Amino acid sequence: MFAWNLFLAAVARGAMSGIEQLLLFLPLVLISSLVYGVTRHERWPVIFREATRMAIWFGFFTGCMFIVVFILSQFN
Amino acid sequence: MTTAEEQSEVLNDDSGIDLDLKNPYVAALLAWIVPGLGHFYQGRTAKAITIFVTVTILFISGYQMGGGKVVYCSFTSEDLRWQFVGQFFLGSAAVPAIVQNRSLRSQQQRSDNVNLLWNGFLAPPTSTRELNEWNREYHSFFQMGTLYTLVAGLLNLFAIYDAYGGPGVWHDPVQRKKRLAAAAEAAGTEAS
Repeated sequence: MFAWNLFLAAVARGAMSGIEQLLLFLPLVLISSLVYGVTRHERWPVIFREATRMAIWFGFFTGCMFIVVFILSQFN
Repeated sequence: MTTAEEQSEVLNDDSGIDLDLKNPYVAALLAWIVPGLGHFYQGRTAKAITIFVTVTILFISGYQMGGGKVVYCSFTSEDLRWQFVGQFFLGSAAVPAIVQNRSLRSQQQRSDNVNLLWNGFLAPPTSTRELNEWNREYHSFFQMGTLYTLVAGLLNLFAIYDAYGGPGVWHDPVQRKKRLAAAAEAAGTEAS
């Protein structure tokens, strides 16, 4: 059942109602990384490098959290 | 003659940049009132514009998502709005919310009829029932709007600290050590 739900979430649009709300997470990650970089450095090349690094880290961390919560939600 | 490695280190290390922070208390206050204003006062215009645009976009998006109901101050036992602690760091939004809360609570203590200031702008819900209606009406967007405005406030906290104490890299222990060593070396060269 769990594997079937995972499959539906991956391929079937009908099973992903509201999943487009995950896109709201993108501006949050981008802006947070950029402001973090801006407040940590002064030179723009360094700021952009730091912002990219932070965006990847935030994305990875929240992605992991999403997977954990998604898996736990299957056992309700 | 510098090697590529040395050039790369210079490019990566901006801890030695000299900045005039002017009056840091004034800069921090201005940064609290309007995001980026403190940096503008210090002449760090590019940073000021970046902070103003990004934090404002995040705040207004969140505010609109939650139908303008997600930013309010309330610390009663029925509605403990802990998210306002983060939203507080956007001073221009925090001050009207605090005024609304004080006005509403004092009116509720006197009588049952309340008149909200400024057509209810940044006012807390007058009852738990009204708060439940807001949650029903906006569903997950109420939570998402709250998160956006909360993050906008917390990011402005970073900006306030940057306006007050300079960029974070100045306070990094390793970078600070290098910076102080370079300053001591420069002072030694000057003395000899």
